[in-house]
Amino acid sequence: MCLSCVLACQMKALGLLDPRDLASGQKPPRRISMTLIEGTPRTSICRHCVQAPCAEACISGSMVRDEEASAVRHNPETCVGCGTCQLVCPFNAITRNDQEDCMAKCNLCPEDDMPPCVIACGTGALALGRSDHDAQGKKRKFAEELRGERNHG
Amino acid sequence: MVDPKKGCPPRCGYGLLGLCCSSCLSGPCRRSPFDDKSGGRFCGEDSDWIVAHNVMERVSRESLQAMAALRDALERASGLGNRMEASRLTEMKRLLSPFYRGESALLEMLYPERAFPFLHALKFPPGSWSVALLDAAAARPETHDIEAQLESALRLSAMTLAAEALLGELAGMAPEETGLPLPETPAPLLLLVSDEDGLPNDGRDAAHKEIEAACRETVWICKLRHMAQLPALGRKIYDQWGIPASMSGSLAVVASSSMIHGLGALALGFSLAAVPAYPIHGSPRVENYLTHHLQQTFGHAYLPVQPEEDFVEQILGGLKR
Repeated sequence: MCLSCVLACQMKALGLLDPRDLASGQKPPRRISMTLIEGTPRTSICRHCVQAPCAEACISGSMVRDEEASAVRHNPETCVGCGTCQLVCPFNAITRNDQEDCMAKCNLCPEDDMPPCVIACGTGALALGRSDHDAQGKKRKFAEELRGERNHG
Repeated sequence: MVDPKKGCPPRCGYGLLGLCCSSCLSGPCRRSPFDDKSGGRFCGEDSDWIVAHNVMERVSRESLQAMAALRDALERASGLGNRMEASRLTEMKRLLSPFYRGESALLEMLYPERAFPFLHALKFPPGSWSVALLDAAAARPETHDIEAQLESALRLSAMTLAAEALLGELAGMAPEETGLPLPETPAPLLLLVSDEDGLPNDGRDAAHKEIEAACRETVWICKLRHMAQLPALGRKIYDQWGIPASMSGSLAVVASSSMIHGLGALALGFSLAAVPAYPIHGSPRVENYLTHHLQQTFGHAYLPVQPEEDFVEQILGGLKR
C-alpha cells in the first residue's frame, strides 16, 4: 500500500505535476483514500454504481449517471454541498471540499487519457475499465473453458 | 509519480518530499504532505522529524563511505616508502578516532574561523569526525530538535569535504592548490561543480552548459571538478578579498547524487542550488531553516529549485539575493 494513487489524485486536484511545487497550506479534497482492513488494503473511492444512491439522493442534480462512460459524474458548479450524497454512499467515497464549499468525489478524470492514480500505481492494482469489465472478462473466460471441455469431450 | 513529458522513470512522490520513513521495521510509513501535525502510525513522529531524520540518515551513510575511503588512503600512505610527515599522518588518523574529543589542528588549518564563520557558529570543530558522527547517531532517536539535527548534518558534511581535500593531499596535491582565478575585487561567484569523479552525465553537463551560456556576461563563473576544491576556494576568497564566502553572495550549483557535498557547500558559506533538489519540501520547518533562517542570519541559503520553472532564472535570482 504505497499511497501513490492518493498523492497523484491530490496533485491533480491542485493542478500540479510535481509535489515539490506544493505551497504550504494547500489542502486538496479527498477523492481516493486507502485503509488497511484486517491486513488488506482497501480503497475508499467512487465505484460509479449502476444504480447510484448518490445520484438518486442529490437534490440539485449534480450527481448524474453517464451510461456511455459507465461513470457517475459530479458537477461541482451546481453542487450546493448539502452532504446527502455522502450520507447515502455505501463506500465512503464522497467528501466535502471545504475550499469550494461543495462535495468531491472521483470523476474518472474524463479530461485525461488515463487518470493520474492509475498511472501512479506501480503494481497495476488500479485499472481503468467499465463497471462490468471484470464480469465480462469472467464470462469470456468461462465460455472459452466450456468450448475447450466440449472439444476434448 | 510519472511525468510523461520528461519520460523519467516513476518516482515516489512521498520520497521526493522526504516523507517516506523507513526508520523502524514497523514501516515503511508515508506521511501525507496535507496532514496536520498529528503523529505517524507507530512512532508518533511528525513530518518535520521524518524529513530531518531522512537527511541525517543519508548524511550519516555518505559520511561512513567517505570515512572508509580516507581510512584506506591513510593505510596505504602509512606503508613503507611514504613521504608524508609522520605528525601529519597522525593528525589525519586522529580525525578517524572514535575517542578523540580534543581540538583538531588539521581542521583548524583547513577551516580557519575568520574564513568560515558560519561553520564555527555551528560549534565546529567538535573533535574527531568519528566523534561527531557517533554523537549525532546517539542523539538522533530521542532528539526532536530539528535544527540541531540539521546543524549536525552540516558539520558532518563540512568534515567530509575536509576529508576529501585531505585525500587529494594524500594523492600528491598541495593543500592550497585550487587553480581557480578570482576577480580582483569581491564579487558574487557562480560555482559549477561536476562532482561525479569524472563520470559522464549528459543531463548534468547540459545543465552546466546552459547556465554558463546564460550567466557568462553577468557573473564570474568558477568550474570545479570536485567538491574537494571548495575548502581551498573558501580560504582563497578570504585571503584575496578579506571577507568570508558567506558574505560574497556566491552560489554553488552542485549537480551530484550526493547530498553531503551540497550541504558541505552550504556549511562553508556558499549558497546552494542542488541538482536534483533535496527531498526536504515535506517539512516547512526544515526548509525554512535551510532557506530563510540561513539567509537572514548568515547571508547565504539553500535555493529550492522549482522543477517546473526556468532553472537559469532561478539561479540568477539566487545570485541577486
